[in-house]
Amino acid sequence: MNLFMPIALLQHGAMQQLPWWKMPECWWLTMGVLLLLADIFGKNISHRIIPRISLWGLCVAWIVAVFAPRGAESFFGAGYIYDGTAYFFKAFFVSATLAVVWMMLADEQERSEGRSEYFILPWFAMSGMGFLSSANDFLTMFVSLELVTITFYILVSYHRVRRDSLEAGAKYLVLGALSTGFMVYGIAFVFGLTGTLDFGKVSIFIATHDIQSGVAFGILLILVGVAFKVGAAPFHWWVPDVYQGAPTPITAYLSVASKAAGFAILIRLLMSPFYAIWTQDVAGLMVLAAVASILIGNLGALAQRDVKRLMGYSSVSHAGFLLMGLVAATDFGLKALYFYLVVYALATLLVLGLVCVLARSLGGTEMRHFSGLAKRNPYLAWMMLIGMVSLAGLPPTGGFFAKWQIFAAAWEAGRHHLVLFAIFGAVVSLYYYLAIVRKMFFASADDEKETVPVRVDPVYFALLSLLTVGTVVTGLAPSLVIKCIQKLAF
Amino acid sequence: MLITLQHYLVVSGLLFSVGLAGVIMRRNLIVVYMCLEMMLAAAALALAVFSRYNQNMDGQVLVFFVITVAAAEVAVGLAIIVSLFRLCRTVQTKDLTHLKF
Repeated sequence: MNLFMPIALLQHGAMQQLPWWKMPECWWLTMGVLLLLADIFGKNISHRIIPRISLWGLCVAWIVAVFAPRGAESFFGAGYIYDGTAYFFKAFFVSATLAVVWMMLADEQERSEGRSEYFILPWFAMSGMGFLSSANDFLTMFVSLELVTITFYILVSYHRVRRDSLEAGAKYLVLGALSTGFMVYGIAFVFGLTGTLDFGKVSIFIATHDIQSGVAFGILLILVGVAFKVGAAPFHWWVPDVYQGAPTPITAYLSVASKAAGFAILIRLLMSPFYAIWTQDVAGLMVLAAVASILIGNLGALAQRDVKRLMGYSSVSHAGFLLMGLVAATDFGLKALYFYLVVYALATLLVLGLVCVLARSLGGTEMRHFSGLAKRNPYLAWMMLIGMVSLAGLPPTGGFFAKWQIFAAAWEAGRHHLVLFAIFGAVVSLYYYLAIVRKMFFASADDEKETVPVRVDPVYFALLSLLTVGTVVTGLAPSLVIKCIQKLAF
Repeated sequence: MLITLQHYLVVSGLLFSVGLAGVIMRRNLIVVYMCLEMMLAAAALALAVFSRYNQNMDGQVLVFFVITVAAAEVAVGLAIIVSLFRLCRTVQTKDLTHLKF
């Protein structure tokens, strides 16, 4: 099936209208509100129970999202559609949120000030991302994007007794609001000159008219706003600071789910409103952004000493690789992009999960804290190795096949220089991904305190093992994973 | 003189530019935040005008959402800035240099 047909041509009348209870986001929002109310009225017990309810609720939501029956449906007139892309992204967001809340649970256990909003807010962010992946007009897109962003402002600055967290929150706030401003202004121009907010009608307008400078200006501003969200250069300034300062589970959430949400909008925009101009005009911009992201992400990461900040720069370069999948604008490119997202999510959650659990026992998140880890807990060191190898894109893990597919898609689209440049970028990235591996396995710990074995909570170890197995399975049986993606998304 | 679409768009463009310039040049977080709100107001103005020009209400509906979202953003944003002030006793952007390598 060819995904790239302007949605309006599918005739909305033929699409089944969805009753509200069939939208998973309605349930997710209800759950979030109920948990907030429970937090207010159940003062004494709520701190202990709410995190658990949140986690189990997410397990249920995950089962529903993955195994729900499917068919093309729409809601809110045509503002919300529930097609393959929406299915894939909803399953992706629920999985990411589940892993992150699991991570938070382990992270917060040892903290004395147990506040339960930390476990409730991800429900709202998840609903926003779910709506976003179903958005079929600019109104839905804008409101759901803001639901995600505003929730993330709170989550990033959540540890408000720590200066890092608040500073990261303030920076994210200013730059996030700036990108919102750009996006709304762009939407205003696209609306003004096409006369509609509906993706399908905009796509017909763009396909049948010459592009006026006003529309081009609007499209450019919208793309700038989205580039902020995915953290692609040249709009990446917030990424390193925010990733470093945010609580580690939130760093993982930002780099996996928030980035994927940005790509969900890009795919929606590509599939419908901007399809007519994608291959000539927009793809050129994507190539520039991809080259800039790969260059800046990799060069920036080379000099880093803090692992969270390094992951920030690394996520900028991965945004560049992901954009390569969109340059092609084919089904093959999209499939490669989805596969890359899954692999990237598994490896990033694994690495940041390890950083999160190790930060306290190692005394920090800087690279030097990881030296000699292989002697203190070989399992964790090997897990970190697998995660780093997958991010770097070396063979036995999923990262290799993901990069391979993305490069093949871009090569097929005739972007040979881009592919060669990206391969160069991937080679450079080996240096900083393997630097930490070298520290863990070959550097010795400086003082005697650092030879005590590191222990991990079994609940948390289970999560890390799952992510490790996932990373290895995507590498050993990529065709299986691609088949699953195909079944969900196409 | 008749006030046309162009006049409104010029005003909206000016508001947007002043806001953007403020975000880039001002050094106080609160003022930066006010400038961001100005950019949103510029977008809202453009939407309302275009809505009138196109003879359909979609744009004006979106303006209501923009205003609501801006209010939510201000609530969260000011809370963050106030917490930051309580902790660090400053809202100057030049003092936010704790995070670097």
